[in-house]
Amino acid sequence: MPAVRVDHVTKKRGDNLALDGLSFEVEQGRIFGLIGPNGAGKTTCMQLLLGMLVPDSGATEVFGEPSLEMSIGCRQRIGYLPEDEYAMEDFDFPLGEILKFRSHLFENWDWDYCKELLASMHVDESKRLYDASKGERRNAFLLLALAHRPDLLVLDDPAIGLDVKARREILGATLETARERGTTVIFTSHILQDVERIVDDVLILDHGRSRLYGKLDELCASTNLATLEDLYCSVVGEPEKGSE
Amino acid sequence: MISTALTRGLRDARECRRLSAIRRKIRRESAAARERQRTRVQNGQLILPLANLPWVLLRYGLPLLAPGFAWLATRHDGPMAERYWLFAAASLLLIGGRTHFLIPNTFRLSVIENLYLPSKTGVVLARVFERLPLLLMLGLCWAAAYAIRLGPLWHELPIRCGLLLVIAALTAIVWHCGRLVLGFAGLGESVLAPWAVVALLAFALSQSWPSRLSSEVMTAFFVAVAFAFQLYKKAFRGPRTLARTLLFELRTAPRIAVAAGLCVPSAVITAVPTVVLALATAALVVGVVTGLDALCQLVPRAETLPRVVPQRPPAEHRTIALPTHSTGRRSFVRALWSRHRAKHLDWLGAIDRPSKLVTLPGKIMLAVVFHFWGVALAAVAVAMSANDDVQATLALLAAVTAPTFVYHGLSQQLQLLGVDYREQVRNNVRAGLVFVLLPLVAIGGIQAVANEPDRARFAAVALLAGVTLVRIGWRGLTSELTRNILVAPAVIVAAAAATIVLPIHARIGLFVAGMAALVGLVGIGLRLRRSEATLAGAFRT
Repeated sequence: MPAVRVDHVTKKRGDNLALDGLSFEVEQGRIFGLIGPNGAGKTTCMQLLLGMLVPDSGATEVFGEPSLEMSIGCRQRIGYLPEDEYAMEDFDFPLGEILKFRSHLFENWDWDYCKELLASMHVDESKRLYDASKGERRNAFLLLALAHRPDLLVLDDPAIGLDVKARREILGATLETARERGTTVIFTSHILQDVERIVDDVLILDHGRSRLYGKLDELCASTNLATLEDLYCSVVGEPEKGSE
Repeated sequence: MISTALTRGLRDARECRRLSAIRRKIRRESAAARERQRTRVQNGQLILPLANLPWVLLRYGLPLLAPGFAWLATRHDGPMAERYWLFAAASLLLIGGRTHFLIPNTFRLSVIENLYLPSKTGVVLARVFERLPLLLMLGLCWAAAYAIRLGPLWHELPIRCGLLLVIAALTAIVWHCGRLVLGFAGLGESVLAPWAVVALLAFALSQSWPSRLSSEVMTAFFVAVAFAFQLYKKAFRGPRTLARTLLFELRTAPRIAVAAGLCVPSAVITAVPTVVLALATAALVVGVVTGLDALCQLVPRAETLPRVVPQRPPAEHRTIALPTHSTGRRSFVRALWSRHRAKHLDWLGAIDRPSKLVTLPGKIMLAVVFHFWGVALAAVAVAMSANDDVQATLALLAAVTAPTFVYHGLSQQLQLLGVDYREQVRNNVRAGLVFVLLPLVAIGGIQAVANEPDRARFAAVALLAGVTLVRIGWRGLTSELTRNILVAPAVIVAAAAATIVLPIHARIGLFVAGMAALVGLVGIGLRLRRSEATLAGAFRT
C-alpha cells in the first residue's frame, strides 16, 4: 500500500486552477520531492493531502484512508512543517511548553527521543518561538514535526530563508530520521541542489499539472541530463536572457 | 434525532475541552514560573490588563443595549417610546450580528487542531460550548427586553409570556448555529439582510411620506443602513450558491422575527395562540439540535486552513489605461481622491449576469453608508434635539466617525516621493474641514431650519462643529504622529457615555461647543505652524 495516493485531483483557488488532474503515488519509506515554479500548486497539493483543503474532483489518500476522513490514528502518523509559520499555533510560547502539551496528544510520546532531538538540533526549549531567529524557529518547527516519530513527514519548503549551514543541518536531520526509521518524506523546495541531494522520486509540477514524474536517477538517465536543475529547466523552461 | 455524527462530535468535543484545559494549565504554570524569575515590574504588566478592559466591557456590555433601550421605552410615551423600541430591535439585530465576533476563530483551525486533535468537528463544537455562557447571556438579554415589553401582561397571560421569553433566549443559540453552518458551507454572505433592509426602509417611508421627511424616517433610514452595513458582506458566485445560501439562511430568520416582535403593538404579540408559541419553542429546540448536526456534517468537509481575511476581488474587466504622455505633477488631493475612488467606488463592477443584480442593493447601500454615515447621523442628531434637550451623543459620534476620504497619515514614503510633511498636514486639515466640517454643519443647519428651529437644534449644530474642530486639531495639541490606539477611543467612549447619562441642556451644549471650537482652532493653528524639520523629527523620536 502506498503511503500517499493522489488520484486525478483538480482544485481551483479563486479563479485559478491550482491543480489540474494531478495524480501520483509515494511508496512507504521513500523521499519524494515536489518541485515547480511559484504558484505551481505544491502547497495546495500538500494541504489537500492533509485534509485542510477539499478537492473539487479526484481523491487523495494517506495510508489508505481518504484525506478528509482520516482517523485520529492515521493523522497522528503525520508530521507537518508548513511554509507559513503563522499557521502553527503557540507562536507566542516557549518550545518546551508546546512539547509538554503535545506529549498529551500522542499515546507513545517518547521524552528521551525528544531530548535527543533537542540536543542534536541545538534548539533552546526555554526560548519563546517569537523571540527566536528565523533559523532557530525553523529548526524548532522541524523538531515539532519529528518529535512524535511520524511515519509520514510533509515538509513544505523547510529550508526557506536559511543560510547554507542551517539548511544542511535541517536536511541532515530529515535525512537521518527518514533513513533510520523508514519514514516517508514529501518535500518541496526551490533549491534544487537540496532536493537532488535527498530525494528518491521527484515530480515536477507546472500550472497544476504533472510535467515529469518518476525516480530521479531513472529520469536523468532517460533524458540524458546530468542534474535535476537541467531536468527542471528542460521541462519548465530556461530562464530568459539577462535574468541571471 | 441525534445522529451518529453529532454523537461522535460531542464525544470529540469533550476530549478537545479536556486537552484545552491541559494546555491552559501548562501555560498557567509556565507563566507563574516566569513571573517568579522576574525581578522587576514591567510597564506592560500594569498597562496590558487595563488596555484589554474596554474590549471586555464591550463584549459583555453590548448585549445589554437591547434591554437598556426597552427600559428607556417604558419610561416614555408616544413617538419617543416607539423610537426606543426601534432602537431595542435594531440593537438586538446589530449586537446579535456582532456576536459573530464572540467566536472570531471558529472557522480557522491551526495545524495542531487540524491534524492532532480528535476531530475538526470536536474542535468546533468545543469552541461553541466554550462560548455557551456568553451566548446564553445574549439570549437572556433578548429575553429581558421581551420581559420589559410584556411587563403589564404577565398576570393575564403568564404561559404565553413565559414561552416568549424562552423563544427569545433560544433564538440567540439557533441564530448562532445558523451562522456557523453558513460559514462552514462557505456561504458567509447574507442574502436576506439587504432585501430586509430595503423592505424596512420602504415600510418606514410609506408610513410618513409624503407628509414630511420626519426625524422618524431619518431614524429608520439610519437604522436600516446601519443594519445593512453590519450584515452585508460581498457578492455571490451564482444562482445555485444564492439558493443554497437562502436555504441555510432560514435558520437565522427567527432572530428577525424576534426583533420585529419588539416593535409591533403588544396586542399583536398576545394574539398569537399558546399552541403556536409552544410549537415555535419546540421548533427552536429542534433547530439547535439540527443546527449542531448540520455542523457535524459540514465541518469534516470544510476547508479549515488557518487563513488571513479574504481580500475583496478587484473590480472585474476594468481596463487601466496608463498615461501616454507626462501631464506634469498631479495634485496630492487628486491622487488621494483617485485612490479613494478605486478603493470605494469602482468595485461595484459590471453586471454581466442576472445574479449580480441581487447583490447590487447591498453594494450600493454599503457605499452609501460609508459616504453618508456622518451626515445621516448629524441629521438625526439635529432632528432629535428639541425643547432645550441636545442629542449630544449622536452629534459626538457623527463628528468623530464621519469619513474624511482623502486623509492620509503622515508618511515618510510620501515625503520621499516629493510630498512634504507640511503639505501632508495641510491636506489632512483640509480634508477634515471640507469633507467633515462643511457637510455636517450644512446638513445640521438644513435640518435645524427645516424642522422647527430652536435653541437645542442650533446647539446641536454648534456641537457638531466644535467636536469636528477638536477632531481636526487634536494632533496639533499632542503630536502629529500620535498613534495611541487606546487613548482616543477611550476618551470618545467616556464622552459618549457621559452624554448618555447626563442630559445636555442647550445652553450647556452651546458653551461646550464654543470651548471645543476654541480648543480645536488652537490645535489646528499649532498643527499648521509646525515646520518641516519638526515634523520630520517626529519620526526620529
